[in-house]
Amino acid sequence: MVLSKILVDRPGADLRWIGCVTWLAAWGLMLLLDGRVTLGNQALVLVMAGALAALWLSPLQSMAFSAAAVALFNFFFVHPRHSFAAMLREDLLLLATLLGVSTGISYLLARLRSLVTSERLHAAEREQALLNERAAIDQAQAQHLRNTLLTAISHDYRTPLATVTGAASSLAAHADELPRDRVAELARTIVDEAGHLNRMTTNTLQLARLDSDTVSLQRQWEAPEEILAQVIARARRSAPSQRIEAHVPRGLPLLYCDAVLLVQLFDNLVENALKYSPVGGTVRIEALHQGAQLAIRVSDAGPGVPDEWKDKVFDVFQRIDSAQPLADASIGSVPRRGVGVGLAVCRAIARVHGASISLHDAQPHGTVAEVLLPVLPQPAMPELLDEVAA
Amino acid sequence: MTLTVLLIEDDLALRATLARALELEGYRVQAADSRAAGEAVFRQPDDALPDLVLLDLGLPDGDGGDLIHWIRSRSGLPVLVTSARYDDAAKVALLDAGADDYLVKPFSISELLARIRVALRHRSRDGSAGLTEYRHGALEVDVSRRLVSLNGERVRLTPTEFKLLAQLVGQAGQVITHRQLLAEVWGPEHVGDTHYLRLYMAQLRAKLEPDPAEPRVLLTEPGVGYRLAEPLHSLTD
Repeated sequence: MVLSKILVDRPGADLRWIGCVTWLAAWGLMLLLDGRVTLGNQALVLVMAGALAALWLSPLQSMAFSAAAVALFNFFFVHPRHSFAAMLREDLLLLATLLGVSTGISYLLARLRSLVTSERLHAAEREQALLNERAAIDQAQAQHLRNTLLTAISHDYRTPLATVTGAASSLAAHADELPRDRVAELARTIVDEAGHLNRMTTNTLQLARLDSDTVSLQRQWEAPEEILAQVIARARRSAPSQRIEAHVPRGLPLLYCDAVLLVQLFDNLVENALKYSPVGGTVRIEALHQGAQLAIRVSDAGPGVPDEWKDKVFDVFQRIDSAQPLADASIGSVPRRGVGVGLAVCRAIARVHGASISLHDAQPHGTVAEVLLPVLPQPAMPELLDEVAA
Repeated sequence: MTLTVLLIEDDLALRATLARALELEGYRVQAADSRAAGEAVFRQPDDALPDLVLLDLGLPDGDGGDLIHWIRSRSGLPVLVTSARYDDAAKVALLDAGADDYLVKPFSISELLARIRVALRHRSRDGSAGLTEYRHGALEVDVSRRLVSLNGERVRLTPTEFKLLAQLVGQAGQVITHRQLLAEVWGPEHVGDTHYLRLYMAQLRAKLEPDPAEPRVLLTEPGVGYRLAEPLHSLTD
């Protein structure tokens, strides 16, 4: 710790005082030892002080201090005292040792310091390079998302828009001549397609929103049965002729989540399941509390999803090509339209909730979409004991 | 008597479409394209004031919140807010500020008319005591006599459950935000404790709904609050 501080900090004026103090302490020790140990041992104290002080001093300073130390040693401790009478020559060995040790150490430290400084510079450069690289990747991803969104707008939006335009222009041009039921049918088509466009727009916007770093979730404690009730009610309204089975036990743990987003997630899964279900097939929605997780599964009895597509369908605007062989070809083809963004949004919503989402095979055929949501320690509930039913 | 709707919407096409649809239903429509134009309507003599305000959240000259405070400081007129999808927080803030209900764009005309009918029904009752009687299918609630019955049989509720149900009955058919319910039932220090609501709504549904997993009466408005279904008087709904 101390050594790293010494190494990292340049030997500025702020640290040089430690070197001076070391020398002063050494001289104090010399005086203390004077007369109790031999001159040779006293000289060793000087060597040690020179070595230690060099840690904080520059090579030049070390040399100066060492030379002064030898001269003062001669003056104060070598007989005859208080004179330079003893030839300095006799201290030559001591001087050489002191100078060698202290200069060597301070020189080595100076080198180490400059090495550390340049290493730091390089580290900063490397970090900058990494940042640049990451920014480039982010930009590429943003570009990719933009491209896929543009693809969506040009492809997925044009079909329902074309239908709306067709129906509405027909109404505009021939409203007087068309029979009443035909007018109602055209109007119905416009309402349905507008609803489809609305769902696609909601999903596309949500995906762009969730993909940005600044997404803010409106998290609250939510009851999963309320979220699923919302989804089930909407599904029954939109597909009154299809069988929808719900298995949502009472007493499920609360989730700390954004309810609007989770409703959207399960709306998409159920809408998909309804779309791929054969006539008379059942769509099943079930919730299961498993320890620290809540599993919510949406299954259909449709043709299923080939294994190699089970992960890919969650990518933006991936869709299973109708030319691809299906897991169970005997079920026949089903209309596939608008898969593009729905499942990608599901995955994005799951991700921001720390949940996972995956597709599995249903028995005997069909697909199970499973969402595993984390169950957090539950909040403290109000005291119920004092409440008696009246 | 013809009722007047003040329609504040900056989009010309949507304003024209809504105005025509409302006129078809027999309402008189005053249209305004900005907050300023909406406020100008309130400077008319009292007998020319509208009966209901339909307010768009995304006006060019203000977010509508100030306008609701402004309207609320002058009258108890019902205010319905229309908003785009991603204004959840703003929507809730407007409801807390005194708006009566909200509609998310795009909405159908039948939804809009239903909300207008409910809002006008609540306001036509003088004072803001709210409804005290409610009936939906086999469920009957009489708040003043503290009576709740299902299929003619009395249902026992705890005092808190009853308090919560009474709040919902008071504004039957309209959304009430989490914050409003928590403040009324548990007190202002509990406005953040949405988990209290989850627990008590589950208990109420267990007692009052034939299938609590698919409620017909005690409805959830995700991210906003709860809504008691519009009263239904026939037993075959």
